[in-house]
Amino acid sequence: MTYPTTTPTSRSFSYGNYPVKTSQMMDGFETRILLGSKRTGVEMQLQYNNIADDLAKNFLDHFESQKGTYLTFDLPAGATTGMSSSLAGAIPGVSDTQWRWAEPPAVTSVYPGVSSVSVKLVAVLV
Amino acid sequence: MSNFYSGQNGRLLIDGTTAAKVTSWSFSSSMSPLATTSLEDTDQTFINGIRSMTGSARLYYYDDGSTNSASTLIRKLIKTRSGSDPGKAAQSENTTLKLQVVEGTTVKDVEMEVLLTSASMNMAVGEVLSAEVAFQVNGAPKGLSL
Repeated sequence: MTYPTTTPTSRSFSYGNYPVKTSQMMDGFETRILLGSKRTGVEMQLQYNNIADDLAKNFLDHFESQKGTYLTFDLPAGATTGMSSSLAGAIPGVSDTQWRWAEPPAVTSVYPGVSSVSVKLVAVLV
Repeated sequence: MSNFYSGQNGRLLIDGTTAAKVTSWSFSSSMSPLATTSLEDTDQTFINGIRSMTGSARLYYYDDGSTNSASTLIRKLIKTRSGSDPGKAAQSENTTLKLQVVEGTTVKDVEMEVLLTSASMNMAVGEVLSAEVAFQVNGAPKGLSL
């Protein structure tokens, strides 16, 4: 099952960072060791407000098909709807990257047949 | 010919009984739309959301040897303490109101179960004592023929 194509109401993402080991020496100097060549920890939070319950269930079904936070998947273009292509290309902006669920989707019922869904995804190197 | 209505066509029923000395009634219905605007939309879009109704009525407080309608409504909201504990008294009562427009035998109305939310009385020199009560409608109206 692919990730739902519903257009999000709002989106925020964290750009991640390179794996850096930082140590404070006894003489006061800071030593940093670069442990990798690719940025990691890119996270994206998507909010889908006031969508039909059937659409909301698609997120639950997808979470289920991915065995929760276990499997990885491609992010659909709809997740970056509204962004310029240059900015969208910067998410995650790292080759050999896929996404996985960072946590279970949170569903809030707001009206009969209408729900809001909060999604948090994290990019992982594959 | 068009019929227009004024205060003389208004009537208020409290639990099925016509209230006396009513000077005004009003109600307001509103709905909170749910925004469905998504990224890349240029204009806000909505679907229907939760409806609510509130209203108020103003009645003269009078004495004809028995109770009066203003008192009836006030007593549904205000309850006296039942024992020595000042923090304990009976709960306020829900009531059914009918706000009617009457012309001859033709009656148009809205009937609703309400929770009284406030009652105020004003005594002032040169004015007839009256009570203003406000209410919140519980759920959808029971009937509507307006």
